[in-house]
Amino acid sequence: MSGRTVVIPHLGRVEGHGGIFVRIEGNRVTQVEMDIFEGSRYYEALLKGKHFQEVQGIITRICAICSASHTVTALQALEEALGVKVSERVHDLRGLLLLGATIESHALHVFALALPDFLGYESVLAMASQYREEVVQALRLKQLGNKIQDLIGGRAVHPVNTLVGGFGKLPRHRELEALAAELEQALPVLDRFVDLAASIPLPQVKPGPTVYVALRPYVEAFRFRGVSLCTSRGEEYPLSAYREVIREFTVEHSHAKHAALEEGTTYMVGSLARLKLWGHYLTGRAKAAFQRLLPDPKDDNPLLNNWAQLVELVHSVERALEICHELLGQPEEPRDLVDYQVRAGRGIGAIEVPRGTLFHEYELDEAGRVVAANVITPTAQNLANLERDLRAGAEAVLVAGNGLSDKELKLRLEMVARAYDPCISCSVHLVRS
Amino acid sequence: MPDRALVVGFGNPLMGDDGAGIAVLEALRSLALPQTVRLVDGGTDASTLARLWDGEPLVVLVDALARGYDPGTLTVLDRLALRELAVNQPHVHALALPACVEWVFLAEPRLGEATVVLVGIEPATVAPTHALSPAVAAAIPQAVRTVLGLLGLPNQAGQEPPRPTKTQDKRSSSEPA
Repeated sequence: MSGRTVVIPHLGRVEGHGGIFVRIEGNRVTQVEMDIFEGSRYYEALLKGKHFQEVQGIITRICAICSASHTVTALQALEEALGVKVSERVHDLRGLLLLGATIESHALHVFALALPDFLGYESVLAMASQYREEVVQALRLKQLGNKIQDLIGGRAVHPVNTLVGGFGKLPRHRELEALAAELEQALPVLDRFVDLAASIPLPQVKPGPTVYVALRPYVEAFRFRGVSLCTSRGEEYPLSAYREVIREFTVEHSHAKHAALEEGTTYMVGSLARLKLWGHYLTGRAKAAFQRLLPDPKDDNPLLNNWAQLVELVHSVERALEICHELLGQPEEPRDLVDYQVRAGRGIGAIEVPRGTLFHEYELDEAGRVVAANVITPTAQNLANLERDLRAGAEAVLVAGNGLSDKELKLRLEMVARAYDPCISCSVHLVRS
Repeated sequence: MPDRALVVGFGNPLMGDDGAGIAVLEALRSLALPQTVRLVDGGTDASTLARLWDGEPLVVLVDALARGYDPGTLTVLDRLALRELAVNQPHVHALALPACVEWVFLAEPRLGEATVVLVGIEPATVAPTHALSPAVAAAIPQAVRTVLGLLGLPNQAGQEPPRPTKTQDKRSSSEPA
C-alpha cells in the first residue's frame, strides 16, 4: 500500500519546541508521534541538594510564562514539608498572583498564537493588517497580567517577593485601587474578544470521549487552589495519592515523559478540563461567555480549549477585581510573614495553573536541603492525549477532503497541538532565523 | 551617549547558551556604569519590554541569536533588521524576540521614538546545562564591548569605545578567551 509521511520538524507558535511525525496509509493514520523537550527531570536534578530557600530562584527559571505558577506550587509543597500555615490573606495574594499569570498566559496564547490560525493569518503580526486594534489590546491584556505579577510578586517575571511563610512586602491600597481600575477597563475589551470568538466556526476534531482531570476547588466556586484530584468519570482522589493516580512513563520517540491514569487511559488537563468539571461554578461575564462559547457539554473537540482559555481570561479579570476589593477592605500592612522552624519533612503542592494541574513535591532533610524533588507539569500530562487527538485530527481531514495537501494537513495538526498550549518552553527561547 | 539607556538581557541561564544574554548582563553589572544606564534581566519573554521600557531613548537588547554562523559570532541588528526577521520568520518558535518586539511597537508607538538594537550571540549548545559553551563564553567580553560601544562608553580597559553599529546586520567574530 502506498503511504505518505507528514513531518512537522518544528512546531511554530508553541511555547518551546515540538515536532510531529504522522504516517498515513491510504485514509488511515498508522503512526502519530510528538517529540518535545520538557525539562522537569533536569530541574529536579538541579534542585537536589539545594537549600529550600534556593528552590524558588531555580524553579521559576523553568519558564517565563509559568514562573508564578511554579513559584506558588513550590511554596505550597515546601510549606507542607516545613509545617508552615499561612494566612488567608497570603492565600488570596497568591491567588491574585496566579490570576495575573493566567491573564498573561491565556492572552498570549489565545490572541497571539491561536487566533491567527482561526482567522487565516500566519502570525499575530500578519493579523494586525486587519485586526490592529485587537492585536494592540491583546498585548495590553497580557501586560495587565504582567502588572499583577509585578505588584504581587515583586517583578513581572521570576517573582522575588513570594516567600515560604508569606510575603515580604504587601501591596499598598493605592496600588490595589489603580490595579482595580485597570481590571475594570479590561472587561469590555474582553467582551469584544468573546464576540469575535463566537463569530468563528471551529474546525471539527472528534477524538472520541475524553477524560478530563482537574483539582476540586477548595470552596464551591471556580478557583485554582484545590483540595483533591477529580476526573470527569466521577473519581476523586486525595492529593497525596497523585503518584498512584498519575502514571508517568517514557516512550522511545519523545524526550519528555508521558502520563496516563492508572489503567492506561490518557487524559486532558487545562482550561477545558476545568470548565468541564467546574464550569457550573462560574459567575458574571465568565458564566455568560462559557454558555456562549462552549454550549455543548458533550463536545470533546480539543480546539475548544482555546475558547475555554478565553472564558478563564474573563473569569481571571473578574476574580482579580474581587480580590482587590477584598484586600482593600482590610487594614494596610507592610508584610504578612509567619515564623517557622526548619525541619525535615515531605510536602506536596498541587495547583491549577494556566495549562493544567501542576504538581511539585519536595523532601527536605533537617537542615532544609532538598533530598528529593518531583515535578509533573500539565504539558507532560497532556502529551499522550495530544497524540491521540492528533491522530483524530489527521483522520478527520483525510475523510473530509480527498487529495488534501500536506500543507493543509500540517496546519490542522498544528492547530490541534497548539490548542493544548503545550509549554515546553520556556526553557529555551532563543531567536532563530 | 544618550541621556538614558536601557539594556535588557534575555535568556535562560539553565539552558546553556540560551543564557548568553544574561551572561552579558551580569558582566555589565560588574562594571561601574553610569546611573543613566539601566540593566534589566528580561527572562525569556521579550514582550515584557513594553513594561520594562521607561522612555529611554536607547534600548539595547542582548540575546542568543541562531543564524547558522560560527558559535560565538556577534550580530548587531537595528530596528529594520529586527522587523525583517519578525516578518520573514512568522513561524519561528513561539513568539520569538523579533516578533515580540514588533508586537510591542504596535501597542506602544512611543517606543518608535527610541533607538532599539539587538546584540545577538550565535549559540553552540542549547541544552540543559548551567555552563556556556567555550565559544560563547569567549564571546562574552566582545559582546560587552559591543554594548558599551552602543552606549558610547569606554570599555573596561579604558580604550575608546567602538563605533556604534549603523548597518542593519553587522557581524563580528568573537575573540578568543
